Amino acid sequence: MPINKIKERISAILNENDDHLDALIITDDANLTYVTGVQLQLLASIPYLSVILFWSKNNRTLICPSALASTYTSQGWKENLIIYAECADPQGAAIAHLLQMIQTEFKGRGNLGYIGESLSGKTLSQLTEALPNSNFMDISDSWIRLREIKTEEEIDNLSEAAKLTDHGIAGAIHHLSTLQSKTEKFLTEDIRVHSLERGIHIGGYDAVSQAVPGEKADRLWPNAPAFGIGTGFTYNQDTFVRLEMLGIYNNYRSNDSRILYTGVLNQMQMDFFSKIKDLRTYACSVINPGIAASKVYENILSKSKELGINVLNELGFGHGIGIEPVEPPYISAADDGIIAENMTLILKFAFRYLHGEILVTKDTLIVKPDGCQIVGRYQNWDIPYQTAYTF
Amino acid sequence: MNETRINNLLKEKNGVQGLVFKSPSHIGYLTNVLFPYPDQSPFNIGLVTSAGKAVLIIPAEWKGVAEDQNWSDDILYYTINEGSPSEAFCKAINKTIIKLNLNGKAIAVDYPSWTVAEINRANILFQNSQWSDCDKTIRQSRMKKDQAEVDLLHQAAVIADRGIIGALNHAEGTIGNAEYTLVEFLERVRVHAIEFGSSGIGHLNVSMGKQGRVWFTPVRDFSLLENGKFLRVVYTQEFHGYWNLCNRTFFIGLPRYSDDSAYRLHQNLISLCLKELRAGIKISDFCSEVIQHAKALKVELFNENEFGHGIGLSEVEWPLLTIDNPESFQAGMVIVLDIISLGPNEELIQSTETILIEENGYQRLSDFRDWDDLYCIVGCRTTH
Repeated sequence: MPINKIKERISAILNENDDHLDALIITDDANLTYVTGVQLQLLASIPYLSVILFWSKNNRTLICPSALASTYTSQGWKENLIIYAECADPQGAAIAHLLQMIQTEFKGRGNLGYIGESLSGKTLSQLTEALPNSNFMDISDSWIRLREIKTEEEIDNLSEAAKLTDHGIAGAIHHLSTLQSKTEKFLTEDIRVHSLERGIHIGGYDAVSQAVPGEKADRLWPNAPAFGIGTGFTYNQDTFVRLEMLGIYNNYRSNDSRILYTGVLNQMQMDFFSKIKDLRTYACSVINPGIAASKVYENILSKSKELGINVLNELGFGHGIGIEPVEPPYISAADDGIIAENMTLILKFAFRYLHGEILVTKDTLIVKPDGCQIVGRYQNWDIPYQTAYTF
Repeated sequence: MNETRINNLLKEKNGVQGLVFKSPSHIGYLTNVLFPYPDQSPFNIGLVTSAGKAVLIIPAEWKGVAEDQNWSDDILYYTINEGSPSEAFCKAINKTIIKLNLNGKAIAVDYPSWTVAEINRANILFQNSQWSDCDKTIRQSRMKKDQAEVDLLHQAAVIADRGIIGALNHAEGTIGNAEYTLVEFLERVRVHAIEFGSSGIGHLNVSMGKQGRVWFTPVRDFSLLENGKFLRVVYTQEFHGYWNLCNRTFFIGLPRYSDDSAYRLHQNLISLCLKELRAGIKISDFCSEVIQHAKALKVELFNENEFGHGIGLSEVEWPLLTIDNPESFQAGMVIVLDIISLGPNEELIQSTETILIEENGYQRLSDFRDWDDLYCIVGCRTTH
């Protein structure tokens, strides 16, 4: 079932709107996960499994194909369920049930909220055509804000996800030594397996890892079209390796990136990473409730110039994290959204090092009343992990 | 860019001067370029084509990905410094339409892929142009596969089964006295599919015993494989963008007569249904035959409305093998036959077959091995 606080907050959205929403319509996988508490990653890839949630003051109904009915009930969905038989036009079948419900409950009228950022334009056209007397209202702004501010339980899940993943990366890299290399594919697998061993929940699709070494790290996604798989490439001595993992814990995501060096860092390298540490410390000092995300971006960019770090500012300096590994707000030049207490953010620095390799560090932050706090760090990553010579 | 496919589409949509796509699988079909988990990503990709020119619209995060796959036409990168991923993407779409002189012209669009917000933001496309929906046209084109696609789908089917066999080999020997968790088993499926050449894993699911009554059951603990139970894996994986759905049922330890018999009947049903497959058969008629055969064999079906679907650059694509589908099978279609029956304790039994439809019959692409006998995970020695 949805986390109780979220349930209350969704009900509040129905009431807070000036025009008083009568009901909400939710159709996309991330928001369905948020509200039902049931994560089905495959909904994003398989639109034929059309699921619609209708949420009014008196009626919370999930419309789903028969194949998914037992999944939702066994995972704790205790509200109404309308099951449609699999057919050649599943979206049409799901929408037909929705229309019937709106006719029954509101006699084809009412103020109906939808999330324009995720609802298909075609679906909205079908609804407005069939219900000319209903008033459809895009509630994207208030919905995004709702998801940006996390409940205590969400923060716990996100902190745990960050902690388990970071521990998984640390566990995996202890299997690598300077003189005994292993393949990129092997280390990629080891990161995933070590995260699972520590309690990250198994996931498909983008719940993947990467362990990208120096010469291949000039792009964020090498090895096309086999992404997050790795190759038989073996690591050389004195090479930076970008380590990444997107994990899942109780539906909430981790988005972790660390750096490994196969050898011992020299003084110049130590000095460089000391500047990255300074940049992180500075960034954490400016992330406070009340500041605009774009202002945080500007400040970090300015500080990075002062420190002489070649940051890839085109990627921004981070974003929110929750049900999805990347979600609003964005620490970018364009996002004027205000940072608020109980947001969870990924603070990200991507920069090019001497040989063109892109190195990335990511930390999970929780915004507190008087600043922010890094969570989930298994160890001190202020300088890259340096491998031992032998085991 | 796959010019043949683009030209065929333009011919189908007579009078259209440009094409705009957002669906990653449609873009993969028209460009041969694939992206990292695009359906799960907050970032959109776009393709705009006109008069032999093509522009891929890609987030800065995916720089290099298209070039690595031999894309030599234009690329426009967008960044989140221009807006949210959706805003920045739509600005890039508008810019590209103007650049290719498509403003106000007749443009075909994969309309169902666009959200309400994107339709509002990509105003040069949706408000200034004469757009029409070409989603159905391209889905129909994608139903029939060429030989290169069939080869990729064949390879995907083989990799999927090899992934399962590799994981089963790890589980064997752990049943009598050692411990093997469901999560570890499922991860071994992924790892072995990758070792045998998979380009990416889709959904991953395993269920055991009573949990197997539910089609899809997320695993969130360290439960162990237990003797005397059915075990069922449901997963998808792709090879160079071409997917395979591989659902298989096994037994942990030695089955009782009722378990073995239920599985054999399931496989008998599949054999009978395969004989019905050939070009020209109406899909609804085929589905009715499945139901008739199940009744004759006294096999209880989980679902009498759907028995599989097409597969290709999407995990599920047309045709959908549903009882109400009036379309007919055509030579060149590749489908996954996914008949689900109930075991003695109402566990779901699945054993998918990936099939190429031919004029006079079919070719089995999931031919790494046959699964006619119930695969039993047995053994008590872990040192083999």
